[in-house]
Amino acid sequence: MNASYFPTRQAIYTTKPELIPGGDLPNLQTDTGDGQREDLLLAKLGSSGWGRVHHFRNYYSQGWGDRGQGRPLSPRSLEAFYRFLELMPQPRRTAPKVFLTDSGHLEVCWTGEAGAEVQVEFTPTHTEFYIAATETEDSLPHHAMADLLHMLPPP
Amino acid sequence: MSAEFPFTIPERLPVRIDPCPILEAVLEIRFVTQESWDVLPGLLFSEIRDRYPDQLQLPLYQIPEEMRRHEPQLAHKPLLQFLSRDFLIQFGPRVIGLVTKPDAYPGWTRLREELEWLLQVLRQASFITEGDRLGVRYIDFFQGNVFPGLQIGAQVQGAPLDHAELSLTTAFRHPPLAGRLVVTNGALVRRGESHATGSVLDLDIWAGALDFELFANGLERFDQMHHLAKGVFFSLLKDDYLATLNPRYP
Repeated sequence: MNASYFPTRQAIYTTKPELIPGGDLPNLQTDTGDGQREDLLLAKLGSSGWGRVHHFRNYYSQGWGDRGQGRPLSPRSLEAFYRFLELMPQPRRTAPKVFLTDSGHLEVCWTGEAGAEVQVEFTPTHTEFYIAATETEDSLPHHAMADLLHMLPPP
Repeated sequence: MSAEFPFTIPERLPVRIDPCPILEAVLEIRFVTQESWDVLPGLLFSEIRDRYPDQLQLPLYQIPEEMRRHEPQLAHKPLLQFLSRDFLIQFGPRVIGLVTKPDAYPGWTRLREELEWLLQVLRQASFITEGDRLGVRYIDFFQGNVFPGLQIGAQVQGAPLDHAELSLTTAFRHPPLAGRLVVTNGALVRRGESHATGSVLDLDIWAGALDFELFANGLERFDQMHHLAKGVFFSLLKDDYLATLNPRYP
């Protein structure tokens, strides 16, 4: 379905019909970086991860979950998650799995070398992580994402 | 493909050009909230009713909420308009925009004052859980074909495509901001009951979720976006074309 089917507000200007691309292009995205981010998701998390993030981003507004307890996906969490993925090395084993917490934060989990389980949660203000093998639990501000990745067993 | 910043912004920018080509300016805040749409218009209207006494339902308002929520491209569309003498406020479940009246741009100082007031109102209404995106959009209209007067264009086999019907879109980054510019010489503009044909320069600048704190530095980000929009606009005009617009400098 294309949103252009729905009248929203009479636009202040329109373009002559001959300058409007023909056909229905529901997947065409033009915001800067959107295409790159789709590629990033597919490359680092695979099609399953891409599908889950797409779903969280588009359909998890307020009141999701069995009891309506889930908070909407935090835009700051989503942005931090993308910045993390940009710096994360290409997974050598299984792609990290991505979850949406009840608080509306994205979380990624993976099993690193020697079975080391890792969880990383992106809150609106900082990134929390847990490394099961060493029982290390800590948090860093989003701007220290590169430092964080040095501390984590790679996926 | 990475988005570069291809514009060279002039050191001196005019404070005014005449005739003013600004058709409409929109300052937009996208947000998330835990409140349901049922209560949001009431929360906002109770704070703005003195200044924006009239309201108008937009056609999308009639679409059932369940349907709207399942169509991602509608997430940031406004459903209601509140009207004052000089401005409109457009409001939806995840967006609020301050819009100037067509062909009546009051200047950045006045627009910024209204935005500052709106931010205070939003803080008092306290339904915004988190900001998602801030945006500044300027739509300028020019009679006729503007491409020969601009420092942007297209070529076919090395020859400029200045006089064909043409529409160009380019995206760019200017950290922490990003933008998209659309230039078309095939625009149809409503002016009351009549239409005008000509060219439109449509420039949208925005800041992403990690790059602002709405009630801490939101106004400052809007200042930066306005400054960038102004700089990009004037970087596009050829000197001789700018001269025809009677620029006034500070």
